[in-house]
Amino acid sequence: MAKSRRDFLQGTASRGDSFRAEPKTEAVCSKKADVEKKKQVQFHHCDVLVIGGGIAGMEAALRVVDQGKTAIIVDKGVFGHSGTSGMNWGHTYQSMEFAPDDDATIANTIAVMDMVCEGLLNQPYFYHLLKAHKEEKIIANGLKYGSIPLYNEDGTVLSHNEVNPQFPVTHDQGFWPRMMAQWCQRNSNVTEIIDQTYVVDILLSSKGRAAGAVAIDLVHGTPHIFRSKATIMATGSYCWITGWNGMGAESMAGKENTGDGIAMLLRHGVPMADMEQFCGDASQWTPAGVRQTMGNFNFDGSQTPKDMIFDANMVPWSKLLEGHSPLVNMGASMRIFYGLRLNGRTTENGGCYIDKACAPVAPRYFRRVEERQKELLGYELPQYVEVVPETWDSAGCPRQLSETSETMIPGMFFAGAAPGGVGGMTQVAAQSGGWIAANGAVKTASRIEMPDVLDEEIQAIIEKAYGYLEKKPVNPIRASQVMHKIQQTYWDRTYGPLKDEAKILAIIKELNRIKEEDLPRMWTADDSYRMNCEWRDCFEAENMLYCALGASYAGLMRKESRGFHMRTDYPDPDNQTGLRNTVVKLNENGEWETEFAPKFDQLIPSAVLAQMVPTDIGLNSFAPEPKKNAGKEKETE
Amino acid sequence: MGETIIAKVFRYDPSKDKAPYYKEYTVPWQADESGFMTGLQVLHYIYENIEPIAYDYNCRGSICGRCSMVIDGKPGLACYTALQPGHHTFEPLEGQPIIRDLMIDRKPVMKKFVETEVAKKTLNPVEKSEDIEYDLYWNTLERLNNCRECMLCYDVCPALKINDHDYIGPGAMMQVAFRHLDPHDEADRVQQAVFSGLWKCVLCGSCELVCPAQIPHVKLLTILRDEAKKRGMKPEGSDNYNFWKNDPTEDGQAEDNQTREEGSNEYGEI
Repeated sequence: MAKSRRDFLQGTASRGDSFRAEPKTEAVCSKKADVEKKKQVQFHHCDVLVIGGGIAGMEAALRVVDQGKTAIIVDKGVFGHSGTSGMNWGHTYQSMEFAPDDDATIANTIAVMDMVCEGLLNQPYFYHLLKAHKEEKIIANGLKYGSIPLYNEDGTVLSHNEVNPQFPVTHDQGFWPRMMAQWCQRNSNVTEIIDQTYVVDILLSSKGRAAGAVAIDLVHGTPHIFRSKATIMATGSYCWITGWNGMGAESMAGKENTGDGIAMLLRHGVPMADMEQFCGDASQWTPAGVRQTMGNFNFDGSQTPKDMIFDANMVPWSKLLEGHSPLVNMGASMRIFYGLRLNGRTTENGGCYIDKACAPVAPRYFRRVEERQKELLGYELPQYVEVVPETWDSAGCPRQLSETSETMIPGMFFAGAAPGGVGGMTQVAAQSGGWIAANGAVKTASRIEMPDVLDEEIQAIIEKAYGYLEKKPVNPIRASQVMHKIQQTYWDRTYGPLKDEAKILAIIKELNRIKEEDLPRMWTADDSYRMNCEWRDCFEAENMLYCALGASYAGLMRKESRGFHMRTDYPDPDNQTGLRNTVVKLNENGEWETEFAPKFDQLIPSAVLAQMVPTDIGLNSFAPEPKKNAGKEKETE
Repeated sequence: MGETIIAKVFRYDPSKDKAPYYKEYTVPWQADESGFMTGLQVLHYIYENIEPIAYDYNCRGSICGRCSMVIDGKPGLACYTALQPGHHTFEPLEGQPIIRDLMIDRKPVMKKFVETEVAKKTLNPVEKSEDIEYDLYWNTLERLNNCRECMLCYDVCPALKINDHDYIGPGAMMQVAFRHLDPHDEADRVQQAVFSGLWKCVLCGSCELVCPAQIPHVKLLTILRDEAKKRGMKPEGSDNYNFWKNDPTEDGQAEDNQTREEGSNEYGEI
């Protein structure tokens, strides 16, 4: 790769130089080449396979290697830059590190968390997550990896290195996942990292134990077979199913958040809890190309003052909220938002306005966003910024999670679950989830021999994956089109999560039609094996379909509005019937089974929670008002 | 009505094509009140409606650094490149192996980033953060934190084009500067910078111009050089700009740069 100055002067060390570095192996692409590709299998053996390279996956793999076992991370994106972790440069720390280590403090935290999650939290699992914090040292490790936390104007650390007595979790430190990713790549801190490789299915032994996975190397189009004693599923959310607006889903999450791990577990019969729930926030709508910036605003009132948010008529939320409960958590703010939309009080795009003067209050993202948009795009942020609500994490996770995050499948661990994640705290779930899952996986790996896998099973998975490339269906439909159909069916541009029973039934019908009619004729217009984005989209579309179906069946069950789940036919939260978890399961016959399961509430009983969780804000709390479009005028003033 | 973007896109599939080629696509103009379309919007349109091309993205908001490419000859993030109707070219970053079309293999550069050991080196574990003065935080460390690892600075760096074997490059060098300025870090980062090719940089400032995190590259490099010079760690024969001299593959060309002024520039004595 070294270039001499002569090369440079002659212009030969320019773009053309790169081509020589790449070996050209295949001259033609034909059926024969396909057989060759399939044969170029790479085998990997390890103690623990970690699927997903975000914060949860990295934490898990580091912990496994730290305890003397081997761990391989397989990531479908660019390692360190993929999924939500890769886009959340400057993610918040949330840690109990500075809090006293006693059960009363943890119970206090769980009580607050459960209220924020509107009473859906999986309490015992969250207890284990919070317990792990002391040992795990999220803040100390973040500093060690190289992050500089968030500072106030006066040069003091925003968190002040201490706990808030009301809520013992330390917040807003600033955690840069890219530095953790660099740490993983150094000194074999993680045994091996294989990125741009898509796990298409997990492997189970004859005894039903997790035994590894089969993946496709997207760059070269060759199969990878992973054999492991334990597997950690850290694949992140399925936010990418929530709509499509031309640039992305109506989500701050990235294109990799298609819920592939959740879909794989669903297909293997693992029951999932609370799939209808998401967490959300509001993000800037204009400019269109960059509308999903991280320039988001917190609508829970803690960071964005309520007198700085306005509906389309510039009525401040503080006025709307007069006489309502002081706690406006994320679920309630989303109900205000979509309630306004339902009653025609939002802008054309379904948004509200926010005063950009709130920027100093939310310096992490916003300050720099304004600066960057001005300098790099030449876009001047108006005084009143139009914001629309978007999802940023999904709550669906396996119903059964042991204290080491083990799922129903023995040896299969889950990391990154935000149980009842309506209120966020996803880093707690991700990092601590990775930590406890690693503890469990190491224990399993020291106890058992490498589980056996049937060769036919591996072959079947590989055949299916290559089938998408080989088949030439009549009346073909491109994978990206199938993806958008799923997104727009599940979450339309106008109403988003606002649905009633008839609409959910129609959505399920349409999703099933896509499954029956569109999936079989899905094909790739591109027949190359090298970085075939369409081929990847085929896998993604299938996974998204399962997640959308699961979320719809769960939504059908919950006859109330809670969290990000909004039913126009049941516009209010109902604490008498609602403090339970929806559970969906795909049985052996491919049918969906649904049930309302009692909530895990060992620490704060549901009867107590029912008194605590406020229910006064519903979708119709704020009556319709004729739209004057005052916002626009004020904006242009 | 009728306004379009004519996008000339670099296409190359190393498994099939003998040589790279350019292909033109017509994309209808669709801008909102911001008055522009972004590069990423154009690529999305081509992928969704015309034919599959390989390009990468994730966050759509200049955070993740994955859509870095060269648009109209200027390296930038496609999601943060504002375009007007007319002709535009889309090319991959220079100097890196091409995976396909606009996607490059980031591993070679990423390796340089990792080798700088950005993790804090301290004798005792760091337990909590210390106060940092406003300017150092908001104008320097906060920007360094936000490095996108987008590799744009590697695309433009002329010093790297001459030798990339003993210079780690602008982005990785900034990580060294990051730790040098960090009040926690106890390692000798100046020495590390010198041995990572601190004096190979030509202070052209191109990296600073393209940096989406707006890292003040030149200022930080100057700080490192000042420090190194104070400690007598300036290699013999090197000055601010004469990287030609240090190039082992060439002789006799050094005179070209002798005419350039030695010793100081707008950032002061170096």
